[in-house]
Amino acid sequence: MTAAIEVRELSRTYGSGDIAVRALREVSFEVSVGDMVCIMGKSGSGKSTLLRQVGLLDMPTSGSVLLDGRDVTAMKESLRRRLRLERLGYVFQEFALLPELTAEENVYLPALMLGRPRAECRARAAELLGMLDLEERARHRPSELSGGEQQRVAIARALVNRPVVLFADEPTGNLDTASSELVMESLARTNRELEVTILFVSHDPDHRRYANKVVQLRDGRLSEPVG
Amino acid sequence: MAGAPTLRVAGFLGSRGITRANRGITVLTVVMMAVIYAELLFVPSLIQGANDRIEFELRAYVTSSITISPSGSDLTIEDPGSLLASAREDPEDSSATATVLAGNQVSHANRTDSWPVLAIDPTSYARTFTTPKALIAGSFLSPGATDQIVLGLGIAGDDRTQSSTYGASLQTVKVGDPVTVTLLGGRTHVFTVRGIYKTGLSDANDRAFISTATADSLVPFLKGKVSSIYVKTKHIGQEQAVIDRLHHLRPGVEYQSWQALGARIKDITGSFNIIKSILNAVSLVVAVIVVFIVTYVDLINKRRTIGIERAIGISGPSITLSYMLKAAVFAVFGVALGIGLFYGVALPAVRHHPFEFPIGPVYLSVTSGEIRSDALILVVVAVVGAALPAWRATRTRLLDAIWG
Repeated sequence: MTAAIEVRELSRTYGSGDIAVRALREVSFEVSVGDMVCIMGKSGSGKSTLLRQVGLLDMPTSGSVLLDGRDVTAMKESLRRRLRLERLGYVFQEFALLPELTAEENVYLPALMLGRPRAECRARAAELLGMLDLEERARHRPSELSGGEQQRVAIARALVNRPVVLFADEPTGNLDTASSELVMESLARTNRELEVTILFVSHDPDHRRYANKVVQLRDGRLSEPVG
Repeated sequence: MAGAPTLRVAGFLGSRGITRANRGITVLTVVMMAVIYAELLFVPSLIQGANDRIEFELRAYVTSSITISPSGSDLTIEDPGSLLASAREDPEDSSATATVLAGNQVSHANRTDSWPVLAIDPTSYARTFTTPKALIAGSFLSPGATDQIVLGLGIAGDDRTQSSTYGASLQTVKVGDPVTVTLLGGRTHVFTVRGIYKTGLSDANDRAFISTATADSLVPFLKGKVSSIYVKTKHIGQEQAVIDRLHHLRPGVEYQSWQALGARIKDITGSFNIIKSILNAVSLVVAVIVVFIVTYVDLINKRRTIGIERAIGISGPSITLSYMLKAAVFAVFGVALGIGLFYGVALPAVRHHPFEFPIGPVYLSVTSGEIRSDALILVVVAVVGAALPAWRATRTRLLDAIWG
């Protein structure tokens, strides 16, 4: 199967000299198209750091990330932004919706940025909100939604531009058990039905069951082979 | 140049930011802009009002619109009748009058000093100058008045000895009192004070008026001569056209507009204009700082939002433009409210209760040009005040922005 993502010798050090913190140490693995990868590890093991480097939200200190065989590590920020907009999707731990927009507007904002007609954007948002059982909440603002609903809106937003990879950083970190199940089911369904490659971070061992691959980290290193 | 999606997203984010922002903060921001704008208008308009007052006093009591005086070594203008008639011919000239210096010393009791005593035709003088309306006691000269005199407060004093302004006056002269005038040629004559006037200009208060009829009988060698002719044009700004016409008809005399004559006044108004410019600059700097702080605080609160926008691929220019649009709209509403406050509250209030300056009551005076330029300045300041911190926020490390 084609490698959607290749991570080669990836390291990330914060600070320098005596106060330098090596959050990630020469991590390498591959993710195939359609994989659902769970990045696991204890708190401080480098899970989120890894996701941010691969997701082009941060620049690694060394090593490289290849998307569809193309090295994207040293790209200019404008090109990285373009890639984030067109090919990647994000779901953050905290419900990162824009408070002044409705659920529907939050979902179709990235599509507007791509220059798509408003009607097409709205139709796509409606389709995704419907898929995630949120059609009734389309006109609500984030403050009027529950945590689980907000996170599912964030998933819909991440999918609006039909990304090839979706990154989710502890998407259930702030949710109760029932809402967590709903969100994880939504991610799994997205992976299954839309064939979107998904990398998600979790500290909950139970979430392994949603993944076909697990990246286990300890002190910034892979603690076991990816599989 | 920003592309269409960039502008579209900026408009989308900006409009949502405006319509769905916290209402209290929105209202406070607009009110703050309005107060800044009204303040930007108020102080300069007060100073302009003082300038206008000084110029009004000058025209109303000293120079009228145009002063015609003898040229060279001549002390009088011969045959003033034809020039006066020519001046009155033009329908644009509302009036013209002449004065002749008939005396130069006024005495009362044991006090005496030199002041100009002017002979006037009370009727045409009242049409050309506002002095008859500036009386604080008694009445103005009637056309046939003989042996009567109207004094400026700077001569009469009117018992205002506690004021240093009138220390050099006759101090205690009141309406009905006799004063002795030394006329040109050395003859003295006793006049009864018919009225006392007071204007905002101290120079204008140091003059006395008698009627031409009295002067003709007491100083016959001045008959048919005048020292100055004054022309009042219907509107300000017509002076040069009238001067050109009259000069063509009667060369050999000196024509000067009130603007040219008010050199001393120009020093005062010039100083006021400098103060006005300084206050304008200070107001503007305050406006820039306040708008900048408000926008900056708003943006600090929105830092995480901006981080998320960037993370999902929204371009920096879209984000910056959205905040600029928001600031521009708030500024426009602020300007509108500020104009409302200025015209609806400040102007009527000052119209009913003008500021009492030594030069007289001062009203607010503002031109539409100033309203437009101040509005434009405030909007530009607000937009720049929003653009800089927004632009900076889009340049910070993405992760720092996302985590607030």
